[in-house]
Amino acid sequence: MPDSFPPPTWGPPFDERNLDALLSGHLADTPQALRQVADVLAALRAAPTPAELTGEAAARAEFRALADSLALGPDEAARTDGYPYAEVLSALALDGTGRPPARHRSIRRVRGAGPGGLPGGPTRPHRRRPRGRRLGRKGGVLMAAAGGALAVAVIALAVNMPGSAHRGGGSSAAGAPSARHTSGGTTPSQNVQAGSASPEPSIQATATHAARQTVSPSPTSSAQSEASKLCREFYAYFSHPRPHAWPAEQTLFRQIAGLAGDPSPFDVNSYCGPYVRDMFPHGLPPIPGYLQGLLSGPQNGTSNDQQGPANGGPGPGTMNGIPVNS
Amino acid sequence: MVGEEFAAQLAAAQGGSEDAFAVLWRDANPALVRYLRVVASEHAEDIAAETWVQVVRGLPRFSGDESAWRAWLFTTARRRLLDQVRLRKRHPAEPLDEISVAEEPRAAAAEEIAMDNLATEWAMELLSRLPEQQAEVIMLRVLAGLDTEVVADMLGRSPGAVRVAAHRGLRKLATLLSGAGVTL
Repeated sequence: MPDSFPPPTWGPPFDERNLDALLSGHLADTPQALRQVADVLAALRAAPTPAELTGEAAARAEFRALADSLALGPDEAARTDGYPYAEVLSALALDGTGRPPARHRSIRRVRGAGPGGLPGGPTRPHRRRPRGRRLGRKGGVLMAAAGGALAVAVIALAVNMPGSAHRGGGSSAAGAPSARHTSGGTTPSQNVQAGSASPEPSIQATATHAARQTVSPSPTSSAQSEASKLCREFYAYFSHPRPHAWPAEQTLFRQIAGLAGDPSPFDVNSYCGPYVRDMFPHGLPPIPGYLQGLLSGPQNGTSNDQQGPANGGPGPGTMNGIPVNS
Repeated sequence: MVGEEFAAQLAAAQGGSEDAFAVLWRDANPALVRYLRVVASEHAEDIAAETWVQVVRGLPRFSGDESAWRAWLFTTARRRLLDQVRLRKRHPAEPLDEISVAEEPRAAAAEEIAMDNLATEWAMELLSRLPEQQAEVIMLRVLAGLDTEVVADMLGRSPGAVRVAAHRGLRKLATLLSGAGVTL
């Protein structure tokens, strides 16, 4: 038997492996110095208290409400296990009607996260393009179509203009293709038949220039298309609410009212109905009171207009004396 | 943790089964409330309720295992918590008239419940004495059952920093306990 004490133990009585084991819930070989810490962590993991389960009814109600609202009414017969809730919910989510408010989208994505930005969170099948770009593309197509139609109209006018045939005939008689290129009354068929090096650029340039200067749509159709565009843009804020859209929404409302001749009171739903009916098959949404009050207020466009609802979307509050959220 | 049944319960909840959703809720809510009570003591229940509203809305589109589910839940809770903090900074609440403890309404079995859960309450109280980040890391690791990498992602820190914070927190906890000379 040794007659001396064992050597003293130096350093901390536990190491990082012990701490990792504690955090992972492995309490088997916990050192004595960490026993109390292990007890604290075990107490944290203890069975739930009644107070922690009191919110179940509210959570169930929320779940039921969502399921009911998305399963087309409170028909209990439809709420069987075989009902395709997931498909219905997904379809509505894609449609943008079941999405959470947009204020959570600016948070950094985390590793292993789905497209929704949460680790393992809801996945979004596709990302919607910004509305402005989509409209821009559509507008580009419309512009191209209108330009083409105008070019055809101008060419037809040029062909039917008195004297153009005469000039064309004259130049043809002269047999000088370069002269044809510079003459304003040249027809495409003549140029092509003449086999000049580059007849088309000349024709297109002339036609486009002429179209810009001489041809314009009738005022009625222009106003209608403008009204249609403004109305669709305005109602898009209701079908896809966006934060901080308040000023743009107001501006659009005023522009539409201006097109309608600034009537007071102005029923924007009646005015825009024909243009936006396809966006709201179940009826147009009610227009918030603060917008309706814009035209009837004492000062349109005062500093009050800069105050929007706190959440950036349409909501109750005061505007020109009408209640608004601040 | 729900365990092997998790996938079936999740699928049923996504299919509209309220009972399946309740199983998920009962499993996760106590941990969620405890976490929130440590990191946001006074508004824990409100934030938990908001979190579940958000989770219910996103439930049909969720995919993943139980670990991912808990990560999603606690990440959502943390975001709601940050929203609340920002909101309260912008609109600070004014306290109402003070109500003495004796005037507070109490349930009949409040004392019994309190005695039953004394250990848990005291553990949470101890955790809340730690620096905020250390307490949060320990709660996410221990209560939510998340591993270091996921916690690091949630908090926007490196896994090494998270590990160090957790270890420091545990060491501090050990110091607190040894200094107090108490046992649970």
